[in-house]
Amino acid sequence: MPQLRRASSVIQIARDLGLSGNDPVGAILDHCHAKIESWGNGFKGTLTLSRLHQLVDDHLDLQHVVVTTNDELDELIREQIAQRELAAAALRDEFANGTEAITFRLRHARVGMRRNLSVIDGRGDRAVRVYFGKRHESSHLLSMAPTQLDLVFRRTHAVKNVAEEQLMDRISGEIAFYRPLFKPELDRLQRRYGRPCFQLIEDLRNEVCSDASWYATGLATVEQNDVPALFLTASYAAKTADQGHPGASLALRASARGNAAARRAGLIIPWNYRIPPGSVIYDVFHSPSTLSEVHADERLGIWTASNGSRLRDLPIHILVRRYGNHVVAIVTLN
Amino acid sequence: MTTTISDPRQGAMDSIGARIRYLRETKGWTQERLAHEADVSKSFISEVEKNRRNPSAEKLLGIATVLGASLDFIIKGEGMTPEGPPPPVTIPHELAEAAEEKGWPYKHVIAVLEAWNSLVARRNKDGRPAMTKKNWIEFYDKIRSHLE
Repeated sequence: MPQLRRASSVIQIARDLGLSGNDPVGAILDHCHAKIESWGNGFKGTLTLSRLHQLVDDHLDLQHVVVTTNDELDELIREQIAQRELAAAALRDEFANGTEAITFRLRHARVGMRRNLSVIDGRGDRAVRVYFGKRHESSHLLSMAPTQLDLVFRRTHAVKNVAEEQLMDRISGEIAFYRPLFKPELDRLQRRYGRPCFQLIEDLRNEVCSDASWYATGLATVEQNDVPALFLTASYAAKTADQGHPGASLALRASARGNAAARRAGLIIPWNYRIPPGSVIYDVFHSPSTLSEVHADERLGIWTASNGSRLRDLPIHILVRRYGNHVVAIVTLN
Repeated sequence: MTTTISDPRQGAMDSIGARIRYLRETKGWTQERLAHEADVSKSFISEVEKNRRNPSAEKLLGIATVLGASLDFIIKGEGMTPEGPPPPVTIPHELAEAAEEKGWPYKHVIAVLEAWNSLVARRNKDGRPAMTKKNWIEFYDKIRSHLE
């Protein structure tokens, strides 16, 4: 976060939006939130999360097209070329070279049609990122000043850098699980279980955000929770200082995202701490045949770093399961 | 300001129903297709297009979304005139160099520039360099077969 605040591209986006202050990231997020809130207030019907996304895209003059097969991509390119949208001719190469989504301004949009078209590659492995991809493309437009879309030589987001991408992911997270709509549903459904759990993630996907991936919903479930909790993914990796060095020793580590309540309670697992062999997470990771959900009560104090330091010895409850090729866990305080 | 837009094929689009019909036909969709995409019944679409039914804001938002249309246009018929001619352009130095080296016709250079300028954002983990002469040549090669 501190690095993102200092990134020149992020500061430039804030400046373009007429925002000032020491925290351009916070200012941009507030700006986007205020816009969404005002659009939501102006809507004359009942808002759900999916309707909010539709409403945001409408205000951004944006339509999404998700291509799920090569044939769909070819057909889309043919259609756009027929309407003299030549940028579409580059789509096949763009997607082949790592681009996952691209937004372009339609030069020849018909009367009444939206004029920004986002094409999202939902083929193969990329399908799981479609929900977030849509919000990501919306974020680009949401964080542009209106005049930037009208100028011929505008600053676009077509030339990327890492900081800008991270900022867009932050904005996407705000839109994808827009707190004023997601949190009340989360609280309502969590009353069934008392604390965040995997079934709660399934319930939220069934009732609130059916298009969202399980993983993204899991992160939001923990991040917006009032109960101190971590959502973690286990993998073998080097500690931060050794990353990129050939021959660095690997250990089973947790990439953990926690909520504000967890930080206040001291429930924190830094990357450099190893998942201990005595933890149920370690067991499930090394037992590929374990397909069902497993839970255990443990102490956080068994987690150690290579310098011998230990985590605060809090009593914790761990739920762990496999998710595709990964092992994920929800950690709460006991 | 409210602008009533007309289309020679459709006549005046002076009602929500007429505008939905125009948008549906512009996309080449049947009423069944629109009903399926918007998760409503075909009879509902038919009634709306004949102005015999006032759809809710939620239903209109859903219809606008699947049609890729502006909700404001559907509800009020306003603000959605076709984009006007682009303002005068300045050809970037790198593009001019590429065009001179490759002998591209002027109208191709303008078309290439317009196509590039229509890109608003792209999501690519590796990032992209600013447009160099080489990048312009690669981009031209991607769209050249569609330039005539």
